Amino acid sequence: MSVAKLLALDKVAKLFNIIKQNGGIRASLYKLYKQEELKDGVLVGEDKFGNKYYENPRYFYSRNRWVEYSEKVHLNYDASQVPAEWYGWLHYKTDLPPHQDPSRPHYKWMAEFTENLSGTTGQYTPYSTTRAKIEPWVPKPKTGA
Amino acid sequence: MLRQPLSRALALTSPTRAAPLAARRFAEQVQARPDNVEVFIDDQPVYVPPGTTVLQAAAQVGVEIPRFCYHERLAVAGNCRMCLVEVEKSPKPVAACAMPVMKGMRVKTNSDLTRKAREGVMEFLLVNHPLDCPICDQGGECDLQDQSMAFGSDKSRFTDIHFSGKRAVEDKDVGPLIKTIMTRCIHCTRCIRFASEVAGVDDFGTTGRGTDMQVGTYVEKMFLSELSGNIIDLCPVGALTSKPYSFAARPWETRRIDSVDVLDPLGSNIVVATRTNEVLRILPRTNEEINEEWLADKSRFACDGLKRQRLVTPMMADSRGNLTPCEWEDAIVAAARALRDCPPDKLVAVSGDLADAESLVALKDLLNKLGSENTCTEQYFPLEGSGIDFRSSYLLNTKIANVEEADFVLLIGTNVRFEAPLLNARIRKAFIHKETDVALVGPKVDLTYDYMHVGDSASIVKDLATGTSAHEVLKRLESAKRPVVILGADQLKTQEGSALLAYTQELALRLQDKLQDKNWKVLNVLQRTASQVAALDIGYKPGVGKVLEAGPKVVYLLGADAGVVTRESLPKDAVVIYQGHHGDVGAQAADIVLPGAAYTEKRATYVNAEGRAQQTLVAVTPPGKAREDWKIIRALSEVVGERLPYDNLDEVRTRMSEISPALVSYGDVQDNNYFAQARALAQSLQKPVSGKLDVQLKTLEDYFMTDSISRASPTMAKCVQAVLKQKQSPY
Amino acid sequence: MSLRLGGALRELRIHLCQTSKQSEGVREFIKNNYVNIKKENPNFPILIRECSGVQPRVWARYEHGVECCQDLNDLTPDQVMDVLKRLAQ
Repeated sequence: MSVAKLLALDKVAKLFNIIKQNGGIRASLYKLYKQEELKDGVLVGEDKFGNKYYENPRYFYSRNRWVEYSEKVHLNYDASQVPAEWYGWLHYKTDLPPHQDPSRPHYKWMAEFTENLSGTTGQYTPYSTTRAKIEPWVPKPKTGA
Repeated sequence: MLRQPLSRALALTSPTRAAPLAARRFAEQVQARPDNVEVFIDDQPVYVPPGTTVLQAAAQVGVEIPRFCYHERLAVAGNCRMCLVEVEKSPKPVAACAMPVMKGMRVKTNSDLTRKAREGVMEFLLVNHPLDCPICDQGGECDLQDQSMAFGSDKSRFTDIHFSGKRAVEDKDVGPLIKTIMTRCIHCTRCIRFASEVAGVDDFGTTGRGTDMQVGTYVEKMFLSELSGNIIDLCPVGALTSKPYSFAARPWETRRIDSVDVLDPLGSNIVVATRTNEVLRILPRTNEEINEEWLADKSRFACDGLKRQRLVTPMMADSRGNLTPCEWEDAIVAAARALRDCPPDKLVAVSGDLADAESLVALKDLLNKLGSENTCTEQYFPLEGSGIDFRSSYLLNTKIANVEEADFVLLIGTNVRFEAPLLNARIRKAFIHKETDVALVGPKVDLTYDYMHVGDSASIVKDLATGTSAHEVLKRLESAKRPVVILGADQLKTQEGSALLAYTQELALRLQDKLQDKNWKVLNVLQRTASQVAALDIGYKPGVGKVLEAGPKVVYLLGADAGVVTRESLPKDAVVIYQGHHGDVGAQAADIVLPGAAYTEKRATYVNAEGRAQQTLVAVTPPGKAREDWKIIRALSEVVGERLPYDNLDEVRTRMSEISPALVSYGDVQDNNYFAQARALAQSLQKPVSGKLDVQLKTLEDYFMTDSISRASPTMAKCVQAVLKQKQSPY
Repeated sequence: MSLRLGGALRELRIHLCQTSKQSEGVREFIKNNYVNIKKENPNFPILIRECSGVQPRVWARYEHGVECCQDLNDLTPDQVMDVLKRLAQ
């Protein structure tokens, strides 16, 4: 066994590598504060909201692939901000990210992706669609004076 | 705290309550019958007058014999055979509804033979009856269901379904009110007997015999009667059901609230069936003295007008004169300002057809406090002579029930058939059973019974009154022991109205003085609306002509939709405040609209044409922002500054009893006197009359839409269309 | 007997019972005197409201809704006339 391995110096080298990859000490501290984790990985792709998707097979299954949410949402990141096309890749349903997968459907009726709006002002509140029991009187408008 | 003296509270001296129903016969006292027959029903002895049937005798003991075709108010048919009971010493079971009792008869209503007979009859009825219970409207209130559970067998032996099967019959079209599914008919013939006896429209009958027997009108004909809805109640199975109510609800889901109908002046007792705060249907309640157990069509089916054209928010006219919804505060403040700024003699209140006594009292109190005496009703009544001082001048003094006992009826200027259908049913009952004769002065209309048409000029009344008429009617009137004269209130609208009333009073009193029966009253005036009697009792001046001439500045319309007060007849700067429940003529003309409650939505008092006070109860809540009428006026009075001294319904009713104690004696009808005094004052009004008497409601299509609720009802509109279409048909 | 009704008095309401003994005087009064009073005051509302079992009373309504009530229990017709005269002032 080499000295580096005995003294765990390769781990320290890995740490410096991670810090360098994430953009320096300041950026690494910011990332640590925001997402409570600092990892290095290959950037697989980016979606139109700015979320970046990384992969590193060195970590175990379920921590291989992760998303770093876009700067636009700052600390208000939410798992439902991952759009549909990246969801499959992120959750290990498929190994092909959207830009490499030829079998992804694209129809013109597909709606824009929205995140989960519960608790915000845009939330869905159910309303009655039954007919009113009483028909109110609508006065005839008086024409002329 | 007793509002009435102790003697009345204990019913010690009250003449109207002490005697039972039979005492409505004035002349004949109920004699003690020494010749009652003794009958034994299930070994229980019972004494009944001879001529009663076994079924009636059993009912006296408390034993209910099942039946389908028998009905107390119709002739006996005896064709369903369900009432078969075993009578000792008789070889065959006997139809209890048709067999008169004999002395010493022993009837067994629960023996093996009786039970076998019932099961057999039920089995036969069910052989050809379709399996429609899940889709039949009568489920839950079906006589066939109830009696088959109670008296039928538990097993079925019907195997013919695999061969020729059950009989099927085509549905008949008898109009937009009655849904007929004739496959379910068990041929009890109740509808036929009702149509022929009570309604007077002899259109129903049976065609064919045996399995091919069909009940119907044979040719496709609408059942043109204003009492047509009653065959829905009569039919024991789901063959005749209500078309507007079809598939709406099951009877156990509904809540039933007793109430009183206000769409005609008789105040028939009804039951309002509701579910989830909407009125589903209206059924009659038995009241022997007013409507027996029938109900007129308009009262029954116009309830869907309660859901349309409703006023649900207060409205005020904006700068362009269009009514826009606003809040209660704004409307009341604007109305109060108008009332306060108005000089007292230019402040007018007009009450409409469906106004209740509580709100009439509140409105009159408010106007009197503000110094105005101009409280009027839309319907006119002559104020000359004794006017409305005596109740006997404007009521049906022969009570509705006693009209049955009359032996001659003279109708002056009234089509009783459409103005008060149940009163017409009573006259018809007297015509059929007691051979009463009827004479009519007015246009020739179809009254469902034969009558002497004396003519239609008003001078006939003058001739009859003075005794100079050459018509045989005069002889009949003078020789009758219990004559009845009914004058329609609409005839009193004209210039000659007071003369006509004077002559009628003269005639009636001349006849009454000669009678042996001192308690019989001859004069009757049939009002057109349910609110008129209460308004006249309270002291409203009938008729708006005079007050409109004076040019009012503020007009308060309390449900006034008859079109008597129009925008054109008022000065340009007049403020019209309308309080009511439907957006009809009155609301269209208004500047401020205050939404009130309809008759099913408030606990209110209505006085019927004979002077009987009755109350409606709350069946549903008023829609939207609508409130109870008297409470609106009370709130208005608070803001105006002349606060009314009552805050809850009991206090309002105490105030009503201060105005007229008859308004709060619910269910009782008073005897009214002082005909002679009224006649004495009317002597000077007997001027020559020359006009022709004409009625507003001549044929069936005029009957259906007469007030704001029935005008808003789509069912009534369909009825009018159907009647007009039927007129084109050759049958 | 003349009775002028009017001025501040706006409406008279007489409650009586049709059969009881207490209202006997009121009944007689109306039977004998009503026609004359009404002839003198043709447009004045004198509302006679009968109801069985009530105590006989007269209510007088003046201007601005002020009302006054007098009991007519067991009075003779003359006494009733006096009560009305007093109310009419």
